[in-house]
Amino acid sequence: MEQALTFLSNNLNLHKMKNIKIYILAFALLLSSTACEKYVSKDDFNPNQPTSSTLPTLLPTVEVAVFATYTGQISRTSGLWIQHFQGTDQQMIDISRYEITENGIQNDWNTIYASGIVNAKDIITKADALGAPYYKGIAQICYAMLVGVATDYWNDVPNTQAGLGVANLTPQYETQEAVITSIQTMLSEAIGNLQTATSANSVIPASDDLIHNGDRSLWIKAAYLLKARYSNRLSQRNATTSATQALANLTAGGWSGNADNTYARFSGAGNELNSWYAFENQRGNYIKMNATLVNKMIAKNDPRISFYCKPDNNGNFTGTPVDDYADISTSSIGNYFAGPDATTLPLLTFAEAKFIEAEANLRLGQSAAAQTAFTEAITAAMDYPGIDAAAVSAYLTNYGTLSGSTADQLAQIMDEKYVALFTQLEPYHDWRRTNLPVLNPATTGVQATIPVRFPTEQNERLYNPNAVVVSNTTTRVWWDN
Amino acid sequence: MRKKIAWLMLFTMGLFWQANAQDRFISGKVIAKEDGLAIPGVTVAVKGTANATSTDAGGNYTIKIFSNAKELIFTGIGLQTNTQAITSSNTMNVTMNSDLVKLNEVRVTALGVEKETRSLGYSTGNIGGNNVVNSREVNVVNAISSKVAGVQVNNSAGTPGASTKILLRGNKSILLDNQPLFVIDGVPIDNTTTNTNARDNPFNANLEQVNYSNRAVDINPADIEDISILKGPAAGALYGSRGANGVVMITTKRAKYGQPTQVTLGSTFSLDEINGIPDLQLKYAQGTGGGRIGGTPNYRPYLPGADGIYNPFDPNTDDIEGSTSSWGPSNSSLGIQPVDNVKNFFQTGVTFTNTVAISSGSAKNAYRLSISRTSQEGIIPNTNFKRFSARLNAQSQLHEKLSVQSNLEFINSGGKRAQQGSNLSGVMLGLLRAPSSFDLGAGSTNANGSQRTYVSFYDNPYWSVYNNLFKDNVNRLIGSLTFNYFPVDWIKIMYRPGTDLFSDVRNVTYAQGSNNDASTLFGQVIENSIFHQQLYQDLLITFDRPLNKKINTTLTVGANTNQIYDQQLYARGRQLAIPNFYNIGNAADLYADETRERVRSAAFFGDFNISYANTIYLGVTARNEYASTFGQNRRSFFYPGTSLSLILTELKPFRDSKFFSYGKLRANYAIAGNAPLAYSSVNTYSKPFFTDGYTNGFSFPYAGQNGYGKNATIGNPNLEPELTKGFEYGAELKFWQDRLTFDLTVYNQTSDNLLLQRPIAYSTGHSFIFENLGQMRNKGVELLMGVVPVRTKNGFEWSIEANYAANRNEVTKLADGIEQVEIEVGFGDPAVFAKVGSPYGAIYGTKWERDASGRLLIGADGLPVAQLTLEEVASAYPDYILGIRNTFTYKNISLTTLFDINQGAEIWNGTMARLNRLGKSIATEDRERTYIIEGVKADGTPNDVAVDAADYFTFYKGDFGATEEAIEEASWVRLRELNLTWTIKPKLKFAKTINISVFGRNLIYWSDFTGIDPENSLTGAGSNYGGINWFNMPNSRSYGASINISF
Repeated sequence: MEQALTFLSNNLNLHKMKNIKIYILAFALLLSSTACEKYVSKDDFNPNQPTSSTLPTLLPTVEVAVFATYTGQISRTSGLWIQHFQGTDQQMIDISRYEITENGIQNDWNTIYASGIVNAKDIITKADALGAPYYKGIAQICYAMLVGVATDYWNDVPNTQAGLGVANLTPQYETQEAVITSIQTMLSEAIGNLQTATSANSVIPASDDLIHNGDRSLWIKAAYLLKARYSNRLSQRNATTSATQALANLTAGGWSGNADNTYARFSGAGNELNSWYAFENQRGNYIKMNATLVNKMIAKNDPRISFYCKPDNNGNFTGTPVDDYADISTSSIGNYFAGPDATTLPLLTFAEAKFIEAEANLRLGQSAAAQTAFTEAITAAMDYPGIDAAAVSAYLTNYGTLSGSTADQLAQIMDEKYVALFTQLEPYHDWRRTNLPVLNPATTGVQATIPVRFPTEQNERLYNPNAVVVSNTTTRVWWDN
Repeated sequence: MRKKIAWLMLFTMGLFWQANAQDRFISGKVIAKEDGLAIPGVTVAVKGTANATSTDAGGNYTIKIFSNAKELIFTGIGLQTNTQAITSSNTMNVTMNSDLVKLNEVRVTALGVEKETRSLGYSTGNIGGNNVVNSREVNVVNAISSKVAGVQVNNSAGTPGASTKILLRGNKSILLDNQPLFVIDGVPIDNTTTNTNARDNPFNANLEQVNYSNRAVDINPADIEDISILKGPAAGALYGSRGANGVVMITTKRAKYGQPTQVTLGSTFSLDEINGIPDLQLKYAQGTGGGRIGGTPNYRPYLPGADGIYNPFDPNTDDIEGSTSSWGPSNSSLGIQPVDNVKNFFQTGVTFTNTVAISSGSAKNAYRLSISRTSQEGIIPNTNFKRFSARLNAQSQLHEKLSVQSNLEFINSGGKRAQQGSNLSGVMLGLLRAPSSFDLGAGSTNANGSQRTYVSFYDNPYWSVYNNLFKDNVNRLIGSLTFNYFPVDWIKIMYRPGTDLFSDVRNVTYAQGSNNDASTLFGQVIENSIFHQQLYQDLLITFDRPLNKKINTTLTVGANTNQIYDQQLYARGRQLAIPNFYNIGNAADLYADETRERVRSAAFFGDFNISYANTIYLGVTARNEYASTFGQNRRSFFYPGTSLSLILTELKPFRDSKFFSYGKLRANYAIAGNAPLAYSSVNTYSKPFFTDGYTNGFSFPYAGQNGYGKNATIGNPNLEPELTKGFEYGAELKFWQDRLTFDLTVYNQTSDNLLLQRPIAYSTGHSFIFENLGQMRNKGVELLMGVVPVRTKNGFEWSIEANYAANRNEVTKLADGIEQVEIEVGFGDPAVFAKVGSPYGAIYGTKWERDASGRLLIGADGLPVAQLTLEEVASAYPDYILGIRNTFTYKNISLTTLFDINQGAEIWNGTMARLNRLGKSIATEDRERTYIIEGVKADGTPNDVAVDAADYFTFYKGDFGATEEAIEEASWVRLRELNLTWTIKPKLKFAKTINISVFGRNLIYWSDFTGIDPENSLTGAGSNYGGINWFNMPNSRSYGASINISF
């Protein structure tokens, strides 16, 4: 710089003016690049977002990701397909017509991986570094729940290479078989971590654990039921092993009632609303109850119907039938699940444990044990909304006894489970796995059959060359074969 | 750094601060050569000093001269500059030639430096203050519209305070702002359009809320002397990382030394009316089932029961929800008198502007003070915009060698706005969808105080405008000080600190029962306070010295620093305990967040100009810039530029041509930049939000717990500025004493290193990574033409000025493997993309399935089939823009018309698609028949399957059909301005000049676009999203009168 100015001053006859040199020198000083660099280097710190995070702030993120995944649009889509609900407006009509696009499921895929799995992995890493196995165990269970949904709907999915950020921008996909194996391993590890001595933990989850408020015994029960769920999921791959493992996990879990349930938790605050309440509130009449479910319940005089459905305009419980996308005079989802006071939605319930127990025993030919579990399952499911004992026993008298062939008995179990696990994802998986209950697909859909998976998410197709892309929603997942 | 400069100033001043003895006065008279009459207002300056005065009404001047003064320079508008050597005489009378071919015309260039237009090797646009004022626009950006080639101005709505977007030569950035830098009197100011968004709930935020102001709305147009538009990188290169989008240089009016006191009073009154409203059917009532052959139309009004509130959770079933659609029975069959709700709703808006300006100058001091107040009532009830501005521009010759100038403006602006867009409280949404069987205006509240509406979840617009309020209140100070110091007569040192400081306090309220309240029906209050502070300073040292008689050189070296600090505090309270009491403390559900951002830059630069014989001019600029937004690994960047100008008419064959009065060729190459977003170089955690696309989702704090997760976008420490570089060539030709002029420019600019939030697979745990990967190109032609077809001796003149610009934009590169990125979050389908091979901002949406020859494939149900993937369906940018101004002058009367022709842009008319589906559009009136959609069936034979009107308008013409069906051409021809002005110079004591004008703005437009005026934007000037029409606010036309009295 100074050289340049000297050159200029010579050429412009500046040297005649003594004072000018002082200017030039002062100016050159002023412009020194170090001063400039220093001046602009004080703003690398982002005052709006921290560069590090803590276990008690990461855990709520992962748990809310679980709520969003299990109670959000995936649950509505599944419910529409298995005819718990019928779409009567906008995109819900599309879904009822089996039209689902690669960007229609984008938010859900994003929640699972970019809000859930990435931060669950971050907790696991941080917990190892800090010596916090309880946090690690809860994060592992949440991870298993999230990657479980991913593989149940998308089959082969990223797992060990997922959530690594800039270290791996093109995660490899793993087979569903490998993913489910790793779910089982991770859940077993989680149980071990949650069983460590308190003294082995430098920090212990409490109210930041939105789900169980730090109650490790409930988390261990949750982990065993998840293990049983994913064991039983493989009934088509190996009928016997899937059943024995499911029963072993249930025994180890030691569930004793609905007090052991795992819930997604909500409140009346605008950003914590029950997903179904929020949907009904903001998207009224997009979804009505489906006649398939309502008629099934009416036929059995099911006392839960007033909990599942709101009365229609005439005070009756009615559903909109499949292929009807316009009738909104029917019942909406009931206040027990979607009302302003419904602050929980079920994720893992005692009823599910007992239905798995009934099904596994039936598969192993242990019909007495199956019957016992079936009775307990119905009782648990009735107990969930608080049906009084007399009504429960009346229902059990009529519908609580397994009878007929094994296939008939399985149909009875799956039919009851289909009703009992209302709003959950399991009935859709069960239907794919067992084709029970028998559902008549819509005839006005974009395809003749109910979709049996989600299409690969758009960003994965476009930006991950390692993605295993499947766009056809009639292609079955591995455990569905 | 700032301190150092101030110190240096004091030091150098001290060095040269020596009183000069032997002062004397020179006086004289300045007359015109043509008629010998005295010329008032001619500036008389001692060369190379701060010393200047101007001639009075009689053309006389007196100036104090120091012993070392050598020359006096006489300059005036429309006059050839006259330089006279100072002799021993104390009288100097001067005769001035008029400057018909504008030899001495100057233009404000980068950093506020005035240069002779002939020396510029790049194209600039220029708008005089009169043309700004005569537009009668509240927002100064609208006043630029259609006046300069290569400038696209888009007014987002005709509602008070609505933002207006400006683009120079197209888009150059994918993610960053594409609008030019605004500079007033040499100091950059803020022109952002800021939304009031909570950080926990971005769902749909871009598509709703209100139409916010772009902050240039604060400028009082009556204060503007001149606007210079620096279009290409060569013109803007000295602004470095803020120059890529071009620069709008505004110079404000000043008084002259020695000028007599002048007071000007101005008053403008105008009426605004809605311009362009979709035709709606008034025949059929609210309900379902109509439009079906053999179907039973079912009248389905909203019956909220005794409590007046529809509650879907209410186990009592006296509540009946109304239908959103108008597929019911005919109004006549129900005995209902239909209502044209749209026509009834809008009112005539009224705008008043009153201005007082005083300017006065003594020998050593001069000032201009102007005070202005604008008050605009909107075409939508209970909306307004008010602006008060006071500007004081003062200058003082502190010493023969030192002058100081201060420009200071205080502004208070703001008003009330109504909800818009994809918003259940949106005025146009509730209004256009309203069935004709329901009279919105017959009261907006029920007897029990609840909202009276036609569907529980749409607000009655009459209710919405009084119960969902957005108010903003901006207090702003824009100011600068300019010190000019002349150590010797060929060196000038200028130091100029400036600031732009404002607070923008916003208050948003939703009453109990408002449908936009996300959580409950119990009301909401939002307080959003925005603070903006810019501190700018520059130091310029200019050496201006002829090397010999023919070669002239000018060198400016300088440095500047700039700091922009923004802070936003946002607090929201939901569930108000006491109704209609809007205080955060009254809310049960509280949320707050904060955003702070500081961006700094420091640069040194040089500008070297050399000319030969006033014929050939070469300019070289260089700027080395440091910025806090460049990644930590890449702190500084160098911006070079060069330009060449050749005056043909100084050359032999043309020099003496009477016909060819002026000819110039120019060429340039330069690089200008666009700095990355603040903090995009660092990796952070952020509070996540969970969205499912249907509800407001979840966010933190949740159940009293705060949550953080890895930020969706991965930061990058290697970020660089975006670079726009390219060549520009031009020719300026004037004939027959300027009665015929041409100015042609062609350019080819490549914008490289474009910052991308490169989308990545979510399975990485993130959604994006910041990278400098994109590239796009803008090629274009700009042509200005001026003709004076008639100029008679009795004072009649007809002149035509036309400006034409065509810009072709193409995205040439994104990242490897990335063919497209969505520009901003929007509807999903349609979406606005940057896609390789397509123009930036192309609209993507679903298309129909077609056969090989392009015919629609029709399904067995008689309806065409939409594809599932998104494809390019429209381009939101025009093929060309043409502005034509005709001016007819007869003595002291002048009539101006300005036509604006905008050709080839396309818009997704989602509004009309939805109105089709709801049976509201005029087309759906023809419903008691079936339709056969033209196309082929699966077997290849022509379609013969008839569909009901309801299906036709739902699945084909409605928004359940393919997006491409709703794409409409948005070309227009519009009479943008009409102005008749009568200037009187009465021989009265109290008034010297009276100007009376009547005017119209946006009076008529011709367009095939159905529905509202296509000059419109849902997302406003702050957005790169265009061509989307979803219940946007309408545009307006206005007409009025104005009077200006000077005395």
